Amino acid sequence: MNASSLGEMEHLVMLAILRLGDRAYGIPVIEEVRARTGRRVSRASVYVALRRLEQKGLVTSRLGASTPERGGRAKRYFRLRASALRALRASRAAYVNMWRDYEAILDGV
Amino acid sequence: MRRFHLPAAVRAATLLLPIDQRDAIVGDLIECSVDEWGPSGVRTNSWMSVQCLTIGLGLRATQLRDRVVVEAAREVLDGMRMETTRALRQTLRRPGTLAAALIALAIAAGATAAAGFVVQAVTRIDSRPAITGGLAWVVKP
Repeated sequence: MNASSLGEMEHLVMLAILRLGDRAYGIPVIEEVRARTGRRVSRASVYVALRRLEQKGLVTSRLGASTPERGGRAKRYFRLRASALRALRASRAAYVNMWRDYEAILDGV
Repeated sequence: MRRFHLPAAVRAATLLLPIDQRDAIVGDLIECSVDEWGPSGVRTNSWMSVQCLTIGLGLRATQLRDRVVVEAAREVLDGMRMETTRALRQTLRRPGTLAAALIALAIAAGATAAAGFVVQAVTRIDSRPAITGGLAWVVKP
């Protein structure tokens, strides 16, 4: 699977994981994406993105301790790999290049 | 830690989730459902079931798509690899055939080039302007 081809949701999820640090498990990731984008993203799309990122080797996961408020089920914490940071940097550079000179045009509309 | 047992309908819906992710996702949903709907009840159970079904379907669809695409690509690449290997082996086993093929290829290339030169020479004569030394123009009949 090509790690360089990032979908929009994968991009958002990686940024959420990066921002959350050690607290990055399913619920905070979903809330972070919803809060930052202002969109009502579905839980399914976030879990699918997390799965795909793991398959692409951009994200690793580990199980935490079981907690009573989760019915004794463990949290799965996600963490970005070095390749994910490289992919994010490359993606950002591409977006910045594509956006160059367009801000003024859009501001004038 | 005592595990919270889910109602049968919700448990059935969780079966759609991949086994390696099931506990973590169900745990997330329990945590959310307590905040949104309370620890138990019809609304909690139906919300949990719908969430498990949508997440499970999404993950299964992704798995299926990956499997189909990857398998199809692998089949094509395997076929190409086998054909190339077979052709190379046969060529190496029979150097005479390789030499004949190369000679035939050279003759064909030479013949094509010669035919091209002839056609070019003929068309150049025919397309020469009627008045030499001047510009060519089109005369309407």
